[in-house]
Order: sequence, then structure tokens, then C-alpha cells
Amino acid sequence: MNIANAEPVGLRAVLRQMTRPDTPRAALAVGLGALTAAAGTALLGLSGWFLAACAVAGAAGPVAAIAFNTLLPSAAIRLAAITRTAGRYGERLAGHDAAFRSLPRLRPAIFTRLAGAPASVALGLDPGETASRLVEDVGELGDHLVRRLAWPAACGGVVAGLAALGLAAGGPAIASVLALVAAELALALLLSRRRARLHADLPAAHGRLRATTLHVCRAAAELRAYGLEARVAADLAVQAERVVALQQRIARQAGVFAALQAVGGIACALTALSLAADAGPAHAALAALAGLATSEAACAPVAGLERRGPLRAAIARLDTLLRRDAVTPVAPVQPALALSIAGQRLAPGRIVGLVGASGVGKTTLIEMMLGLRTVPRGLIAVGSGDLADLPAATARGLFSPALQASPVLSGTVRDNLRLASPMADDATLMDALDAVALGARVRAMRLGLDTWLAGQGSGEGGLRLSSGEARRLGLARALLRPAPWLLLDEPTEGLDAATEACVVAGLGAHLERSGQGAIIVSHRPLPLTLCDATITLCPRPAPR
Amino acid sequence: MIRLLTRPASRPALPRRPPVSRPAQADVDGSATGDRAAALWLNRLTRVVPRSSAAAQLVAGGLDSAGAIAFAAALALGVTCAPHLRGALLLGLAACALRGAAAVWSARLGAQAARSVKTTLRAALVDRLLRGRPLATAVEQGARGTDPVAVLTTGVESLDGYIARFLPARRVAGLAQLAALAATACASPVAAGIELATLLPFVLLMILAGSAAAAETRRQFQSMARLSNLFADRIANLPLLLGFGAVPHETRRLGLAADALRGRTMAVLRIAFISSAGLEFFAALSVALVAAYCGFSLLHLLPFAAPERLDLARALFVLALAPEVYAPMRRLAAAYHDRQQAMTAAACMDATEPGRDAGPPAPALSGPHLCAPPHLRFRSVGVRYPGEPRPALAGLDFTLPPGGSLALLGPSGSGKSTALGLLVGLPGVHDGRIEIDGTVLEPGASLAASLAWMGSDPLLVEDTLRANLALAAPDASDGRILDVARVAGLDAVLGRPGALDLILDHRGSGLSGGERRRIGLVRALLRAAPLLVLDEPTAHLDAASALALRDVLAGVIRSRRASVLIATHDAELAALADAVVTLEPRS
Repeated sequence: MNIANAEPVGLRAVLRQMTRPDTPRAALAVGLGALTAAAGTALLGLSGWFLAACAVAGAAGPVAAIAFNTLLPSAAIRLAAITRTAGRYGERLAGHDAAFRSLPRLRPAIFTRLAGAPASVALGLDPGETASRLVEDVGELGDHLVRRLAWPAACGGVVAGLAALGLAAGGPAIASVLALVAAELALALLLSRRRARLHADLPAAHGRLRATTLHVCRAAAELRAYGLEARVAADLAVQAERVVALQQRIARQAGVFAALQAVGGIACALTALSLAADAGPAHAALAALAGLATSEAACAPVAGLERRGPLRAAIARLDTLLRRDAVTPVAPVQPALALSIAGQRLAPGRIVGLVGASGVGKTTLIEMMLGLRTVPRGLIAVGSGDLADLPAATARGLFSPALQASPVLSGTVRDNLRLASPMADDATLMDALDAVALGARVRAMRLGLDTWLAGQGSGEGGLRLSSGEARRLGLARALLRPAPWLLLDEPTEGLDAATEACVVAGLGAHLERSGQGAIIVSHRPLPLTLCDATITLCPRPAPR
Repeated sequence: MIRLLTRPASRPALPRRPPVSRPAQADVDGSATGDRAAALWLNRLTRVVPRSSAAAQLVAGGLDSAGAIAFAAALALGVTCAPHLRGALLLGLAACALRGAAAVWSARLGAQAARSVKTTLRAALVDRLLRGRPLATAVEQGARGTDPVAVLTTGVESLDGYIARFLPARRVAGLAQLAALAATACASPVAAGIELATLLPFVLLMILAGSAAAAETRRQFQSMARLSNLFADRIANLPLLLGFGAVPHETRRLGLAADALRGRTMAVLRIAFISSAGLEFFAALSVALVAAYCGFSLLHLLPFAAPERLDLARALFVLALAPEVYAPMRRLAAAYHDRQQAMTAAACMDATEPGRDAGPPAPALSGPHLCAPPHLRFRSVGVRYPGEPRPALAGLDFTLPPGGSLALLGPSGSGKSTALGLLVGLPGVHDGRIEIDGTVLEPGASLAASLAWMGSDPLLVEDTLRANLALAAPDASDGRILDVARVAGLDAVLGRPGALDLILDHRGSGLSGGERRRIGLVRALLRAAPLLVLDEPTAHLDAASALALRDVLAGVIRSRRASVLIATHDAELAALADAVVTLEPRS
């Protein structure tokens, strides 16, 4: 359980646990890849040899021609063609499947770690940015896993090519083609390193362009008021130019790489040809085509190396995202129910109003209780212990919150409510909705509890609740959790008087029934009528 | 469409996508019709590439084909004719040079074309964004796929592969195939016939696989967008998940969504792999058929009377050239992903076009020039942005007497910024009217020449502090700048090394939020305009900075040198004004 302290914190630890590609599939992909590459070499070499051998036999007269066994070589050619096609398909499918199977484990694992980070870190995450890390950067990792499988396959192709070369032209041809292929690979590696560097500069240039664009968008009205459009457009053009110029250089490098592949293949073929020319046309043809195939097989995985830059950048970004803090294990502390805030003891089941001027820190106090902020020692006590000593998860188990922002999750009504009580049945959910005067509204929806709600600020579709409805949904959610204390921050803010009365009555009935305690923060008087005590916060010792 | 035609020729033109009726949510997802429209849009976009560049691409393709043919010839000559080995090797070297040069040149041409298209497109988009509706709102309300910032950055960049690789590959494909077939026909017409016959099913297969892949790819994009939205939503609501201890529960849900994406991705890949297996199969079949035909022909064992007599040199030449007949199509298939990416981006870019039915972009109509603090009156002013069901602002009524101050108080989304935007001619269909000293302000006319503006995120340019402060009043003397800066409480920044010569970047690194606001305030005050507009001047500031800034603003309002119009959700700031108009949230 206590993985946090044993392993170095950060991505590598998570990666090691999560990104083992599915072994049988990966092995299958590697085997098929080697087979495919070998079949490709065989197809090309055999065809060349077959033609040359046919020509020799044909030239020797009709008897030799008829005696020439055409069946075996042509069957072998067909076999090689089919093997190559089917092998390539199987290799790719198995390879991608093996690699991508780890992603549905990796993404939630990263999310769990993020959520388990200290509140100051976890709550400071930018949702859009983090989501793109989890989708795009993790996707880049998946692609890397696929590319890693290409190397063994390439070895298969090279071995087959060299074997054919050896048959046709002997050791010297093997040695010289091997030397050429090695030189080609070295050059390709060098080029890919340069491209990787350019790729690595790209995110920074892109980031600057993005920041400038965002800034300009935010200041749009101001620059319009002062007639600065042209100047700003020029500024943006400069930033964009940097990105575009980098992309252009990357594309040019790709051209050099393609040229290297073309030149290398021809050079290998010509070298093999010149060394095998004396051995007769059949051997010469086999040698030349085997040389070509060897070079092609060796270079195939190198093309993927250009993604090294983006891959490293992705890993670095994920690493910084995760290198915050580890998951704190949940300590099995039996939470006492009595609570004391700033020295005032609250017996279990009390309903307490928390009042004080605006900005005095009521919401801050609520957030502290939920472990969303650091709690100073001595401020809040639970039973005989200090809240600051409790692990956040244990402390959170004490409270069921209805936050002031009353967020709606992008999901169904049921998803939103079950957050508080995953096993609750529909009747329980409807009871909670009725308590906050939202039951009729949900029953009127065509899909009822299955109605999809749009999350705040998400571009997705779905029903958008009004702010009053969202608040009541948040309240219903809080009622569903059987925690000792409800934490209600401005539960009736923004509701009209009639709805407020219904909600307060429903809330009172619920508290009566469940015997839960509650801490209610409200500017409005009606919810405070439920309270049997109030705590007034004063501006001076306002907790920060 | 009309808007573009009436646009002055000097502005970069943006290709218009023909309007397609489709639900708002389908913008990112696209559809078959959407795809056709996106393809048209892309076609028009790439007209920016000069004809000479396209022609050069063809020449590069021709060089590459010549290299391939030369290599096949060198191979045939070298194998069959040992005495001519030296000549064959020289021919091979020439093939090397041709193919290498063609690859480098073609990549350079593609890169250049991509650069020019992207630069032109971005300039057109920037132009449109700067003249469109208030961007702050557009950014906040923009769906993930259509957020203008994303479109200007990633959106434009995702066209790169399409222009640099896919288009040249498509342009050259036919020529390269024709060249390879013609060269084959010269050596053996029968072999050329065999290749042509296998090429037809090959092309049909590619088209079929392409359309199947397009549908699957759309589903994969949806699945990816869903996962991305889910992650963003759950991270935004982390307090809630933590508060309810619901992290494990939600993590399982995320795992399911991630697995759904994996399923979709594999479905797309399966089609892509099947189609490329099909391509390979026909290529291999063709090589095998050609090899068999040539072999039996050389053995004089053909079961039919061939119209030609093959020798080994011709046979080898044909065999070595056979893969080249298929290579262009395979390159095209490999670049197909670039096309898909560009199509998705095209769909988003169309959706971002600000107010596409809003009539002409705000013309630089100048409103009345004011010499003294004006009497400003809004009479039941309403604004509705095109394509949005609810008005952004409705029935706004207020009067701001000369030298007075008035605060529009309301939460975000209540239309405050929209109301202010009307004064600088930001577009929006509006009812009611705005009167300045009794004269009606024409819709779209701008009071920019007579007003000073301070927003919550003042524009910073990469220049000195002096230039930033005097951005709206370039003639201001240092003395005056310093005076005003002191009034605005910018002393701490002025005390830094360099003082007015301090170099700022556009992010304002090293400046606090409050200091950045003060720079905006100094800029506005230096302008000494008769109308001062404050748009959320204290938003997102911590309590202490907001308090300090309120004190400064109180002084400005009390000086009564200008009529002051404030939009804010800060009740304490609003209380400083002579009058407060409360706006209700519109959702």
C-alpha cells in the first residue's frame, strides 16, 4: 500500500508499474515483425534470382528450360509475398494492441496521484492543461512503446538480407554492406538527433505564441480602445514566425533523412552488385536486391527516432506534474464525532451557524476542514486530537460538503449524486432531490436521473442547470453522504424566497431524521433558524 | 461571404467554408458533408501557394522518377552485362544523386509552402479576431475545440503535414505512376499491362478504406475529446471529489473512458492496417506476377504467344521498377493522417469565425469626438451575438452625467463587458440606443478616440516601462509620466533599477497583478480622455491589493476630470461610484 515512500516519486515510478506492454502480444509483434522483414527480403531477392536463373536455363536450350524447376521458386515467391502482407498486418495490430493496453491503466493512475497530492498542489492544477497532459503526452508515450517494438523486427530483416548476400556473394559482400548500413544508421542517428533538438525547441516557441495570443485576446477591448490592433498583430506575427520557421527546418531535415534512405539503399545495392558481378547473373541479381532490402529494413525504425524530442518533452512535463508529492496512505483513525473550532466545542448532532462579516474567512475555514487548505495547529480539534494531525482522507470522512461554488460534474444527474454515495439507489437519490425541492424538476426531465448535465466551463453538450438549481443539486449531494457533519456554505444563496423556504424545511427535516450535525455558513437569515448555536468569526484572528 | 468580398484587397483573404447546416455540437466531430466542406475550404486555402512552387514539386517528382528508372536500368545492366559494370555503377550513382536531390528539394518546397500558407492564414485569423466580438468573452465561452487561442496556435499548425507532405504527394502521385508504367512499357508492354490491371483494384481499395477510416477517425476524435473533457472536468472539480472521497470511484470512470478511447483507436488502426495490407498485397502480387511472367518468358515456356521477346536485362529492369508503380500511392496512404488532422482543424477554424452572420466587421467608424466629459445615456440597450440563443445583454438603461461616475455591478456573464464593448464599436446586433451628449451613437461606431480604458488584464508589450505606460499617449513627457505613475501608486516599480527604462515582457514577469493593473491605469490617465472606462479593474486581485487599488481609483473618481464608467462584480468598488446599476446573470 505504501508505494509512496519506497519508490522515487515521479513519473518513472508510475511508468515502471504501468507501462509494461502486454508481454505475449509484444512478443508476437516482434516475431511477426522479424518474419515480415525477412519475407520482404526474400521476395525481392528470390524474384531477381529466379529471373536470372530462368534466363540462364532458357539460353541453354529447350531441354534445360523444361528441366528447370519453376514450381519451387515461384511458389516460394508467392509464399514470401503472402507472408509479408499478412505478417505486417499481424505485427502492427499486435504491437499497437500491446502498447495501447497499458494506457487505460496509466491515465487513471496518474490522475489518482494528482488527486492524492497535497491540496495546495492538486487544487492549483489547470484543468485544460492537465487534461492535455493526460491525453496527449500519455498518447506520445504509447506511440513510443509501439516504436520500441520496431527494432527487433528490423534486426530480423537485416539478418535475412545478410544471409541472402552471403549465399550470393560471400563474406566480403556481407562486410561491405554491413559497413554501409552501419554508416547509414550512424548518419541517420545524427540527423534524428538534430531533428529531435528542433522538435524540443518547438513547445517553448509554441508556448510563447500561445501566451501572447491569450494575452492579446484578454486585452482585446483595451487595444481596440487605443487603436493598437496593428501593433499587436505585428507582435503576434513575430511569435508565429518563430514557430513556423522551426517547423520549416524540421520539414527540411525530414527531406535530408529521406534522401539518406534513398541514397543508402542504392549504394548498398550497387556495392553488393559490384562484388557479386563475377558470380554470374543469378547471384548478382540476388546480391543487389538483398543489399537494397537490408538497407531498407535497417532504416525503418530510425524514422521513429525523430519523435525522441517530443517524447522527452512529454515525459518531462508529466514528470513535473507528478513530482509533487506522494499519495498519503489513509490511516485507520477512528474519528471522534465531537468537534471544536477555535476553542468552542460542538457536540455531535449540533447544528451550528458560522457567521461573520464578508471576507472574515468563513469559506476558508470550511476549506480547511475539508483538507483543501493547510490547517494551522490548534484551530480545529476532533475529539481529543488536532485536525491538522489527521490524514486528509480521514478528516474528509467526517464531513459532507455543499461548496459555495456548487459545481456540477459533467455527467448524468445520477453520476453527480452518487459521488456522495456510490451505492445509493434511485429512491434514495430522489428523496434527497425532494428535500431540496429539485425532485419535481428532475422528474420532469425526459431522461430523469439519466439526464446528462453540462459541467461548468466544459464545451460539451448537456443540460445547463441554472445557478440556483446547481446549488440545490450540490445540497442534495451533501445530504446523501452519511458523514457525521454536513458543511453547508451559503446553501440558499441565489434562491427566491419561496424556494428557500422549501429548501430550509427539507434540510431541517433531513437533519432531524438523520441526526447528523451541521455547520452552516449563511448571509441569509432563514437557514440560520435551523441552528441551535452560532459561532461568530471576528476579523482579527481571521485564519489565512 | 459578402463580408470577404467587400474587404479591402490589402488584407489577407481567408478562404470561406461554405455554410453547412449542422448542430452546434457537431462542429468538432464533423460529418460526411462537413468533410466535403472542409476539403473545399482547404483547397481554397492552399491557393496561396504560388503556381511556380506546385510546378517545382512536379519537377522534383519527375527527378525522383528518373532516379528510380535509372536505378532499375543500372541494376539490369550490371547484372546482365559484366563488362559494362563500370557504366552500370556510374548510372547507379547518377540515380543516387537524382533521388537524393529530389527528396531534399521536394521537402524544402513543401516546407516553404506550408510556411507561407500558415503565415497567411494566421494573419487573416488574427485580423478577424482583433476586429470581432470581445475576445475575453469568446475565450471564456469558447468550447474546447473552438477556443480562438487554440485555433490560432495548434489549429493552424496542424495544417503543416497536409501542406508540406500530403499535397505534394498527391500532386506527384499520378505523374510518378505514369512515368514508372511508361518506362516498364518500353521494356515490356505485357508487364506494364499486368501492373495496370493490378493497379485498378488497388486504387478502388484505397478509396474504400479511406472513407471507412474517415468515419472511424471521427469516432476516435469524439472519444478523445470526451476523455479530454472528462479529465478537465474532474480536475476542475477536484475539491468536490476530494470532499466526498470520490477519487477512486471517479478514477474507475476515467479508466473506462480511457479504455473506450483505446478501443476506438484500435478500430481506426485496424482499418488503416487492413488497407495498407491490401496495398501491400497488390504490390506483392504484381511483383510476383511480373516475376512469373518474365521467368516463363525467359524459359520460352509461356502458355500463350507473347507479343514480345524478353531478355534478362529487360526482365530485371521491369522487376526492379515494379515497386515504384505502387510507391506513390503508398506514400499518399502514409500521409493520410496529415489530411485527417487538417480536416478536423478546418472544421474548428470555420466554427471560430467570429459572428459570421453579423454583417460587415466593425468598420473603423469614428464616433463623435469629445472635448469635455460627456453626458452618456444607454436606452434599453440589448445585444445578441449571432448563433447564441440568449441575448448577452437586454434592456440596459442608465444615465451617466458629465464628470459623474456609474458602476455596472453584476457577476461574470451578466453582460457588463459587452455593454462597455459597444463604446469601442465591438460588433453585436443591438436594440435600443446609446446617446452621447444627446446624439445617437451609430451601431459599430467607436468612441475610441475620446476614451481611456483600463481592463483587468492590461496589454503589455515587450518594450520599456516608459513605452508601456505611454502606449496610449506617445507624446507624454517623462515628468508627466512620473507624476501620474505616483498618483497611481506605481512607486515600487519606478524604484527598481532602470526606472522608466525597465524592460517588460508581454507576460509582465516580475510584476504583481496589482502592479500590472496600475500600469493600465497610468496608461488610461495619461490619455487624459473625457471618458474613462474601467472594466473589472479589481478582478482576481487578493484582498490587500484590491483594497489599495480601490483607494487609488477612489481618488481618480473624485477628481471628476472625466465621466467614469465602471463594470465590476466587486460591490465595494461599485460603492465608490455616484450610481450603481445592477445586472442580473443571464443564464
